[in-house]
Amino acid sequence: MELYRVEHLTFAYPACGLSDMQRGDGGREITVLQDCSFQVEEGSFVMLCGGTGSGKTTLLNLLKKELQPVGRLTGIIRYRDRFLADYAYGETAAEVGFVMQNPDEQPVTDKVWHELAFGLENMGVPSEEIRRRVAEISAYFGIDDWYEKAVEELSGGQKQLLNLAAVMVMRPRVLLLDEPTAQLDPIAAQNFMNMIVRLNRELGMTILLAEHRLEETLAVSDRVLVLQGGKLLHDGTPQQIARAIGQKERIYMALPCSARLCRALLDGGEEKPVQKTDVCTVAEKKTDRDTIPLTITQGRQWLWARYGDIGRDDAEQGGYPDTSKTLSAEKEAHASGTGDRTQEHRRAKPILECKQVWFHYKKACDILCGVQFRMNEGEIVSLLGSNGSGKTTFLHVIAGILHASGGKVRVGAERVGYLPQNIETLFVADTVEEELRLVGAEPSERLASYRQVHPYDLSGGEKQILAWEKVLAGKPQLLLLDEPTKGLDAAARRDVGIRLRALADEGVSVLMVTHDIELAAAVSDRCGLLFRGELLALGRTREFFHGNRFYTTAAARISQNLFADVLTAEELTARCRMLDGKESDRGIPREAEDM
Amino acid sequence: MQENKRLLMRLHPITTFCYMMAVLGIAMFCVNPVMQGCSLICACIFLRMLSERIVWRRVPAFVLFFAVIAAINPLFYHNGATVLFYLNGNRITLEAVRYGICTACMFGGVFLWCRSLSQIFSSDRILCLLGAVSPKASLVCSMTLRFLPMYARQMEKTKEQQRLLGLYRENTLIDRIRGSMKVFAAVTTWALEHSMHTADSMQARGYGVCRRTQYRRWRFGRMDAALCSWLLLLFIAIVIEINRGSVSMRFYPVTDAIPLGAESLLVYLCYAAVCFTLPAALCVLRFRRMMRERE
Amino acid sequence: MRQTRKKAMISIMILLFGSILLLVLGAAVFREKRYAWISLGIAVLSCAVMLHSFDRRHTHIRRLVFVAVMTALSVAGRFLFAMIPAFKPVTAVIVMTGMYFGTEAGFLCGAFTAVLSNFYFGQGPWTPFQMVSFGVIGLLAGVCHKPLKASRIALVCYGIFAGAFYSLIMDVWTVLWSQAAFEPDLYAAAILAATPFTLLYAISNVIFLLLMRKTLGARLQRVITKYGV
Repeated sequence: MELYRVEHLTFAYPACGLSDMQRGDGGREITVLQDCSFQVEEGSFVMLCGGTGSGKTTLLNLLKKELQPVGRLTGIIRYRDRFLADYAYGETAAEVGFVMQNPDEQPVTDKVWHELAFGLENMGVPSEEIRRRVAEISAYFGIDDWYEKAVEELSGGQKQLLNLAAVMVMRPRVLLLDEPTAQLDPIAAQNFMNMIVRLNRELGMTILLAEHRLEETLAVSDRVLVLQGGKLLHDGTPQQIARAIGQKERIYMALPCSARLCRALLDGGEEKPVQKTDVCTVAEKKTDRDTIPLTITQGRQWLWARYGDIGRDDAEQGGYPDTSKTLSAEKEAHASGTGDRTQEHRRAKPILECKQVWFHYKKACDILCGVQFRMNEGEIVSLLGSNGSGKTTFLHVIAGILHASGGKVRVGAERVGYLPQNIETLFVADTVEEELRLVGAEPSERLASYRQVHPYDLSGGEKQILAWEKVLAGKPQLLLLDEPTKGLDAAARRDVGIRLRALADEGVSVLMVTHDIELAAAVSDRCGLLFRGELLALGRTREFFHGNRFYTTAAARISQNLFADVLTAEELTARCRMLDGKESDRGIPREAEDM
Repeated sequence: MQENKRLLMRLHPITTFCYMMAVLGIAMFCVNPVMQGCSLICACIFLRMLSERIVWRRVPAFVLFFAVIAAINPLFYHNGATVLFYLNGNRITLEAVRYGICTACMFGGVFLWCRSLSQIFSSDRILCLLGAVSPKASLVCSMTLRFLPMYARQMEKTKEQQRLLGLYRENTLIDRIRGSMKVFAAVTTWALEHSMHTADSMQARGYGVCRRTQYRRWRFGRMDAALCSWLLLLFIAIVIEINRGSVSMRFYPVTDAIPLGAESLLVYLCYAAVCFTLPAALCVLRFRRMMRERE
Repeated sequence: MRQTRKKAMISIMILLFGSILLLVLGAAVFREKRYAWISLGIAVLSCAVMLHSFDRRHTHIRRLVFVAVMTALSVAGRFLFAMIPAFKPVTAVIVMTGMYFGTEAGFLCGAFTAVLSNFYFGQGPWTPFQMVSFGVIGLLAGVCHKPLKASRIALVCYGIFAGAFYSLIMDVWTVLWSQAAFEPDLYAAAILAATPFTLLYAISNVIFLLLMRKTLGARLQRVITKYGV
């Protein structure tokens, strides 16, 4: 059965808000969505993907009567064969569940049990019935352990699960989720996604999930809608989408590593023109060979099928003798010579030295246990580790927010910059201009048009730029970053990487703690793992990731036991291309030529 | 001790509220040394039953505080027949001292009761009681309790951040106040902005669509009914007796003897019974549990 | 409009009759401390009436959330300024709430602040009095929001008034409670003893109000305009 039918939906915000007037387009409208048409079948798992500012949130809000923003709407939204506009206010409140992006914002009440009951109370459900339903849902979600707790005591992942449960307890028919995992750490995010998939598979819940990270989620969905700049660019199965997204498109970077590898090899470098795809236009005839791998496992199988015989030797011998030269040259070009840089810095003076740093809060157990750490000027070091491993605490000790309870921290830099996880703690002023003037800087050209805008009226991406500018205004010699890519889409993450490289080239040392393995692998000179307050396995990025089996990049996991010394998707692609070249020299027909 | 608390938490908030009203209502408004003593002793016992240990270091300060309260009355109030001595030309009378001690006992008792009762009146239970008067107020308070730790944390983080940027100076008191004020204003904006999403979340879950019900977490069981009616009965009896004047004392100009007639003794007994209701209930609950475990 | 006025009238009537009833009852039952009893009764009753009328009225969700936010901020402010004793922005936040979000929000913010900060500092029979005094401070700030927004002097005066008002009410209650009858001597002594605290309250109120007038006022106004509350 069809649950939603959206036809030619166009939506524009009135540009009469204070901030928009200041942006200089007063009186006009800002079109957020343009001519979107799609249907959602009951029981399907639909993913809505697109970068920041592509209109995902607006689209989801429009599908929920109670959250429809003010603006000019043309086109049709039908929900269960009736126009959504014809529903009375609140009629669909229970039926359409909505989970927001920030796990901190959704909870209304202070206790977990009350939060679960909140929606039912609103619906006027009698107390005994609430008791039953709350019990049922907490058993299903496994939250009876923290049933009595205060919401504030929960971790981010638990909070988001609670938000989901608080919506599910109202027994919705469809679930709209707005980037629910963007603010979570990878393990919590995976946990949450598993629950969503479970709801879809076990209960037949219809799911419409807005997401900009496709790495883990693409394979589990039935349908994917790609939104860009307010237009619905693609609509199809994950397979079709993985095939249809052009390499120039913003969302291409977000595709899973396996899919990108396969695409890069099949398309062979040249660009296909970006075109709007419909379900019918993509060729239906497919063989196994044509299937684009979407998960790590599929990627591995695909890779083994192609290079299984030659690659294994490669891994065992540690690389082809004759390819190693080109490979290392390529590596240098790509990672701007990681090896050389480290050599160079060995001679440079240290900018940060930690000797046996211990830390514990009053009467609590140790958070840092004798961390030994040394960092040279111009180096980029990433520290990885799970939640509660003491990563942020370590940064705080270095920044001087906390004082080490034992050991020595010697910072060789006069000016230290610190970019917190929660960038909004940086903003204290009323306008962008004033904000930067406080630290003695002027807005750059990227923010020039927003001089008089309040920092909170900026979009997420612009806020990020402002935060960076404010932190960099002090010309720090040592930059401490706490999760710089949290909640960012693939393109913005790549921007962060580029920015970090540029900073390092200027001689700024960067120490970051992150969950973002791909970023750490792409930009850092050295990486380390923090585990229960101890710094383990600190070493050069390449060595660090090769020492890991689980905690490593997608490309490395795909090529494990096949190619040694592969870290990023680009390297993997380059390696495969090279092998393809060799094979064709040997006279083995290239599979790509079949196409 | 945690165990005791958990057992008491099973009672309906109304029951504990009735208990509090009965104990405090009489202790606060009846000036009688026997009743005050009874309240004080029982408050100590109850507090001991609920909290892990007595912090001995705090005891002298506590005693001193109430000694000061006891001293205030004779220092400022000079009625009474028996003059003890003169201070700056003012009479210090025995009656005023007696009254002062009695008042200090009352304050001490009320203070201790409030301490121990605040341990069993968790925020959930107070909000449940508030919900009986005004469900909407109860909801707003619940939201406030949700926001409060979040804001405190955000303030702390903003302060740290501004300190790192060199914008938060702590050299002088004025600097501190100014810096904190800036942080406060920034967090206010942040909080109001983010709270709009919370408002959306309420709207999304149908707040204000129809008349709200209230989820009652506690059931008013047989034990609750028994305790409540028992407390009510005793309370009414005591109030009637107080009204008849069987335990009232006059302090000025000459202090009456402590009333010790049959009726007065009965009132004392009744009040002791009121005071020991929850401790006794606790014992019963523990005993029952023990028996169940034995089976 | 007429309906809300009617409702307000009803609640005032309830308050009036309730107080008289309590007066009579309390005077009959508790001979010694009838004033303490009566004043406590009036405090509880007036809170109950205000809360009840709040319950009956329809409040916009955003307004509701704003009240919660401002209350949480006023309590959290206590922790932010923990380093300076007796120097707290609580009253100032309540006054600002009354000024910018109206009388009802002012009263509720004050009353809830009292209840919630006592979660940390101990509940007791003083809670209703704190609720009433903070509530009234917020309510009056809402009533005369125009002069308060317009002139700095009015704000200073209001700050002093708020400090004195709170202090007086709490003192009256303490004296009433500890004494059998209302003794002017003792009350004067209590006021004298509390003068330093009263002064400190008043001064901190004035300072905070002057500081907030610029920084907070503009921000609250911005949010009100942006979200149309």
